[in-house]
This record gives sequence, C-alpha cells and structure tokens, in this order.
Amino acid sequence: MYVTGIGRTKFGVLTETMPELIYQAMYNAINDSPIAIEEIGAVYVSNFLGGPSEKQLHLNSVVSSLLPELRLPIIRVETACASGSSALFQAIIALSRFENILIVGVEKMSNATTEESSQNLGMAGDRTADQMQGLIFPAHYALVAQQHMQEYGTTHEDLELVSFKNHCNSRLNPLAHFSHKDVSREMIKNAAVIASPLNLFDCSPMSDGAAAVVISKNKKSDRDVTITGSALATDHISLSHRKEHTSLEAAKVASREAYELAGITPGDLDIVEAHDCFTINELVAMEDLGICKPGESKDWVREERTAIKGDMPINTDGGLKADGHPIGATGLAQVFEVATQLRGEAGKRQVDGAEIGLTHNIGGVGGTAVIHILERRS
Amino acid sequence: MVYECEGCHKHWYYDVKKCIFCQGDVKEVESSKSTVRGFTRIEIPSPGHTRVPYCDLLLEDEYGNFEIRKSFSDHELGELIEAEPKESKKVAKSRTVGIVGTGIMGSGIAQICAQTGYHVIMIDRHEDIARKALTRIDKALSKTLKEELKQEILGRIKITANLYESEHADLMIEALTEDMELKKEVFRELDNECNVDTIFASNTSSLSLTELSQALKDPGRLVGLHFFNPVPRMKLVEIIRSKHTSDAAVEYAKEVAFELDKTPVFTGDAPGFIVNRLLLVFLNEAMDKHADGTSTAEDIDKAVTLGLNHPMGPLALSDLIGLDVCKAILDVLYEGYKDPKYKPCKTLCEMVEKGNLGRKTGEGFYKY
Repeated sequence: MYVTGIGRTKFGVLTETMPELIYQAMYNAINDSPIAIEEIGAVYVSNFLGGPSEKQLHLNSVVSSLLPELRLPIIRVETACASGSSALFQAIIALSRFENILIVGVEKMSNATTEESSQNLGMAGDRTADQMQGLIFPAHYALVAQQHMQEYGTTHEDLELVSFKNHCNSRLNPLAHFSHKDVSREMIKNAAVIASPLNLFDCSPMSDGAAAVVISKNKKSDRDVTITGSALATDHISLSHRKEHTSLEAAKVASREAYELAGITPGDLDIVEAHDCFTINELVAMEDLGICKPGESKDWVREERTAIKGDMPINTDGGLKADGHPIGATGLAQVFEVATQLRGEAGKRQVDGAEIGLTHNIGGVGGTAVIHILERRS
Repeated sequence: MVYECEGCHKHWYYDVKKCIFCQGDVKEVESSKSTVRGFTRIEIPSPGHTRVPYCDLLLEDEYGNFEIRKSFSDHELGELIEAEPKESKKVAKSRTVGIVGTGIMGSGIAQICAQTGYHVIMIDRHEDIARKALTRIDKALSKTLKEELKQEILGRIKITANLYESEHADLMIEALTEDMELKKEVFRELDNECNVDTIFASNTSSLSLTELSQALKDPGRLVGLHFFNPVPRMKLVEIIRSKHTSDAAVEYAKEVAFELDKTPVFTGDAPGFIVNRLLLVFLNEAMDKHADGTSTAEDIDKAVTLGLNHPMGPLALSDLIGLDVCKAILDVLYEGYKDPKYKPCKTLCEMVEKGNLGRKTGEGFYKY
C-alpha cells in the first residue's frame, strides 16, 4: 500500500467555501500524483462540524458534485478530531476492492462565532458527563495537564517550550496558519488563561482548510511512500469514565498495533506528527507512543530533542498549534507532512535522511486514536 | 451559477477555477434568461424562510442548465424570466451616489452603496481623510469577501476633495457633523454643482430638515435619509419629509432604501424623528435613575438587557454614543417641543461639563 499523491490548501482564516476547499485539496493531490481522477475507484471524505457550523451534511454527495459524472462510491467519515486519519484507515481496508482511493478532509470553522465553535467542538465530549458540566475542549486537556503536572512535575514552562518550538516550525511552512507570525517566549508566557493551567498559546487555532491523499494498492512512482502500519483504537468518550488521566489508552493500543504491523520499534522513528490540539497532548503523545517513558517527555523538550535539528523531530510543519487545526483535514495534513519529509521535499524544514515517520491523530480527549506509519527507505 | 471547463466542457456548480480532469481553465457560463420548468409553493415557515407562502422555481437557462430560485410571486410554467444578477452586480438601476463627509456614518453608507453596485463618490475636504475612510471600508469588506469581489466593489468608489466632481450624481447624501451652517454651506455649493434632477439627502439625526432645505433653490429636492450605526448591520432607515419635500424625492429615497436592503420608516420633520425621540428620553431616564443612587450602572443595564431584551443597556449605549452627543440631541428635543421631559438630567449635564463623555474620553458611566 502506497501514498501516491498528496495535496492541501493553506490553513487559516480563509474566504473559500467548504466545497471550494475540498476541491482545491483534491486538485492538488491529483496534480501531485501520477494517477488521473478517472482512475480513482472510491473517495472517503472526512469532516467533523459541517452540520452544526456550516449547515452542510451529506458531504459525500457534495464531493460527487465536485467530480461531475464519475458517480463514485463516496462515504463521509466522522470521528471528531481524528476524522481524517479514520477515513484513511477505512480507505486502506477498502484497497482490497479498489486499486486507487482518494481521501479528502475538510473543515470550515471561521464562519461560526467563538462561542458557537466552543459549543460545537464540545460535541466531541459526552453530552451528559462533559458538556452539561461546561467542560469545553480546552478544559478537557487542562485536566490532563493538571494531572500530568501533579504526577510528574511537568511545568507550564515545559508547555511553553512545545508551543514555541511549533510556532518556530510554522515559520518554515508557507501553508501554515501562523506561517507569517513571529512569536516570542514572552508572548506565550503572558497570554490570557483559557482554562487553567492552559493559556491561549497552549491551544490550537480555529482554522479553515482541506487536505487530500491518494493511496494505491501498487507502487506508481519513485516518489511513493509505503504505508507499513495503520491502526485505530477507541476508549470511553469521557475522561471521567476512565481511571487513567495522564495518558490516552487508545493511543497506546493503536500505536502498539501499528508498530507490530510495521515491524518497528519507537526507536526506529525519524519523524513524528503528534496531535498537539493542546500543548500538553504533545507531551502525552511522546509517552503514549513509547518515544520516552511516562513523565520523561518534559526532559526531552527541555533538551530540545524534538526540534527539527533534534534526534526526534516532532511536528515539523508547526503541528496543530501553529500549522493549524481544520479538524476534518488534520489527520491527512499530518500524512501530507510525513510524506513530504520522507520524499525529501520539505525545503527549509527538511529533516535529513528521514525514512520512517508516524502520524498520531486523536479524537476528543482520546476516545479515538489513529496511528499510521509511513516509510521510504533509500 | 454554472462553470464550464474550456478544455473538456465538464460542468460544475461551484467556482472550482481549474479542471481536475484535464487541468483546463473553468469559466463561468453567463446566461441572460431562464424558463420556468417547475415550481412548488411552500406553505410552512422554516428558519431563514419565515415569510410564507413563497415559491421555489426550477429554472432552465438557454444552455440547458438548471437552478432553483426562491420567489414571492407566482409564475407559470414556460414563463421566461431574467437571469438573477450576480451578487456583485445586484442593482436595479445603475446609480451614482455622492457622499459628503467620510466619518463612520459616511463611510458606512459608501460601503453599502458600493456593495449594492452603485458608483460612489466620497467627498471630504481633505483627501487623506477620505483615503482613511476607504481603508476602513477595505478592512470591513476583507472580513467576508474574496479579494476579487472586494477589489470590484472598491473599484466603484472614487475619492475626491472637490464637490464639483459630483455633478453627475443621481443622489447626494450629506453625512457631516451636526452643524446647520456647515451643512447649509455644502448644500448651497452642491445646488450649483449638481444636475437639476439630482436628489439631495441629509443623514441628520436631529436638525430641522425644513430649515436645511432653505439652502436649496428648490427645497423640494431635499429628503431626510437617516441611517443607523453600524450602517452595514442596522436594517433601519428613517425617511423624513420636510414641509417642502417632493413626493418624487420621498419615492426615490424609498427605492434606494430597498435596494440597499434596508427597511424604511416614514416620518415628518419634527425633532428626533422617531428613533432618537424615543431613545433619548429613555437614556435620560436611565441616567436619572442612576443618579438617585439606588442602582448601579451595571444593574440598570442588566435589567434592560435581560428584562426588555435590548442588546445593550442604556448607560453603556450612552457611553458609546458619547454623552456630549446625547446632551446635544436632548437640547434640540427640549428646544423643539418645550416639554420638560426632554430636559437633559442633572447628572448628564455635570458629566459633560467635567469632560467625562463616555468611551471616547475613557470615562462615562463606566471606565474604559
């Protein structure tokens, strides 16, 4: 199984409509790929909030409108913030039937007010256990951060280091939401508190954007990237339904399975795209993925081991924090970045000699976790 | 709207620009007329479509492409109807509107006129002030429009410092500060510069329109066209008839109000018209209530927002309007009606005297 084409739009506050964003990403992926649109056998489209935010559901048929006369089998996939990777996971299984599949993810968030978006994003939590208590999404992860700090002595300064690194990386990514924005340690430290201990710079932005990936059963060109691991695991939707609050069990389960499929260990990874919807989750991801032991992620960050020049670069595109988080597109944007790096096409943010990469995409506060492992060995 | 690939002739109903099949350019197919092929009359309301009944028509254009269009009038099968004008060209008639004064109100009016498709001439004594107003409009439009459409709209606005450039305007709207002599002076000049059939309008909120119309050789050409701040968002326009205003001028103002997607209400030339007469008595009363010391400013505002469902409390609103402006309007009302209920209350007079004018000075009923 191969990634044979990738494409995305810029992320940020954009004027394009949801269909226009979907089309741009599909066009770019087909353009990047040796496969013509007529050779695509099926399409998966991932999106989270098209219903409440844009009053647009039945997205599979919207995609059909964008591909006139093809009348392909198209299905929408929704698993909150993990929708993109979940669509890819489904598509990989469907390769048993189709030679080439297009996966496109999209989110249009800027038309809703911040309050509406807070409520809409809350739908990724349990209606009675979480939403009714006013547990907005930053608050879910604020509890994780608070627990992590209490258990391991992680500090807010460690979170600031994650935010700063990701903002620095996004300056090297022209498609990133914050590619234009210079951010200082002081700005991050002094930002307004959203849900203690998390402040504004611990949170990913509300972005518009789309990303698309073409996958194929057989190799099509030398730029292809091999998919060696694909796994999805789930868990109780509410943190309060679980006993463990400093890690996400679903991510541990899915990553273990993905490593087994790929026949690698965490030590083999050259780059990782981690789901830093909130800074704390990048630290939790490092521990759940087995990159470091529980409680040690803070030390890795302090030693700058996760920077582009470090020995375990994480979120070279800026991550969800600074590349942006157009929810339905996020998982596919992670695949876009890993494939770009493995192809050696990442320009100023290129990690030298990257051969094995992993994407870590989380829905809600770990109710869904999807892991993909991509390889391109020289 | 329909878009077609110049290479492989596939069709889209979205502005996709490039063809995913052949990489050809995808251009809009402009149709000029449509035939009614089907219709349904909708009898039950839904959010966004509360006025019933209405019809949804299935239309076919001359190239065989279909579209759905909402209409409040009945149509017959086979009936030919004009193509819906593009968003950017939605205009019943091509009008040229001159706007004198480029403050918040003037630039707001200029923005909606240009968005409606009118040609707009923005006039300010200092061209750099007009240029600033244009930047303000640019910023406001950037929030919701694509670059291309925004540039098209901005392209319809011309800025100048010369009143004589408005000679071909169909409508001149004056949006200067509330100064009778200044306004009269401008209208005298406009009377000389503009065509004989130009309609004159004033955005005054408190001055006598009848007196103002004396500046014109034919006072029948002046009508009151009172917009509300922020102009692009507020639906209301007060159309004011002075003692001399002609029916033609009122009719013209009404047509323009509808084209600008505003709802007009009509009133005679009496101080405060409708909105300000009611509002200022209300604000004055709120200030007086505050002065008796039994309720905090926060509580008075909370009572009005939650109890009367106003979007903003009277004291916060007074601070936003400016306490000097509030007092000036009350003075005009008091002078006009000679009724003590319009007399600015003691607190208001004291605060204006102290220079605490609300938001603009950093302190009014609240600190900013």
